[in-house]
Amino acid sequence: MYRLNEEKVFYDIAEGQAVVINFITGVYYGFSSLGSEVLDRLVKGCSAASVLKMLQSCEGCPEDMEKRMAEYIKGLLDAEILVEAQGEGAADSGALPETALEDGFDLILDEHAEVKDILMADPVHDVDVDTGWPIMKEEE
Amino acid sequence: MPRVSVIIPAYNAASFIGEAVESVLAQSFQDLEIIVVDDGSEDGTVEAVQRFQQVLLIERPHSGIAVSRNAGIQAANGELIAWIDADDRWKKDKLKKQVDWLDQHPETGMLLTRYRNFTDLPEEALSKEQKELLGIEVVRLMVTAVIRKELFDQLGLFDASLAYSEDSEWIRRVDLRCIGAIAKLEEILYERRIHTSNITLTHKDISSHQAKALYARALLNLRKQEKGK
Repeated sequence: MYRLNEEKVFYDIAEGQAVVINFITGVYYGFSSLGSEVLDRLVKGCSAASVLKMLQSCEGCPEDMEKRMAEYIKGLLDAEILVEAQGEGAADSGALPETALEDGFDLILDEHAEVKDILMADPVHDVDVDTGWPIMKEEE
Repeated sequence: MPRVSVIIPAYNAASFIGEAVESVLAQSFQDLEIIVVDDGSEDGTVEAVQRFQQVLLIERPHSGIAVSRNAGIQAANGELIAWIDADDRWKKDKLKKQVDWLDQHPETGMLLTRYRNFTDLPEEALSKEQKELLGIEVVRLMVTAVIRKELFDQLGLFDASLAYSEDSEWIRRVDLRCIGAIAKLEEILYERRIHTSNITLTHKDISSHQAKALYARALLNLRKQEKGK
């Protein structure tokens, strides 16, 4: 099973769309609809095998879903979004919401670095007394 | 069409909202409309507003500050949006100075002003925290802002799922997309009333965790907005 790498990343999901921010690197990650749903289930402690089984029970699921899932989880581990955890993981009994397949069966993880200076600023302590917004580090 | 839509979200503000509206009506800049969004008040706020014929009153069931702000924006006809909380008041030239500045700085999307805190409460009724606030004159309140309405078209409306910090989350969207620089006027043009139930007193300064959560939510809202286009 896996867990969120809480030492490095912050995770949120709303209306079926997930986002992860790595506050060490300033990189953030967006996901396809199904990628968001799968990540959410893994973060909540479902086992990868049970999530895969749930996907394979869906109409239209591609035959290579197991391979896609393995590649997706490898990407999540490489990006240090998830880390391996002890235990078997819970069974995933929940059906997919309709919105989870808005982007089809693609499990996509997008990496974005364009706002890393903003995200790496300590949002509490690097705040300008006058303006209240984060202070950006000077270009080196 | 008025140039500026002044939006006043109000919830149980009968004691103060008349003064807020009067401070807008007394502005030296008058090309404006005033929109009060009543968020299901139960204290006579609606009646207090109805005596002002110039005010467009929108009555809604109680749904929170973000929904009220959004209803105001959706009803607004002005190219610029200005805010005033129902318990606060403006200095006479606030709007004129902000509109003039924005006219001269088309690159600026959002213009704040410095503000001061004031109170009608006797000193002995003030908490230590309230007394400290009375000495602060900084530029951290979104409610002092005049904002080009097109920013809301680009970045989306306030996140209605947030019970508070909806303004902080929206500002982070501006920050992340660098759309329309944020600027400030050094002059104190906004007066924030300290009383017994200010929301910024009941919700303390945000923690690092909450700040991260706001950035995450801002990114989510931006992605949602951009996906919808």
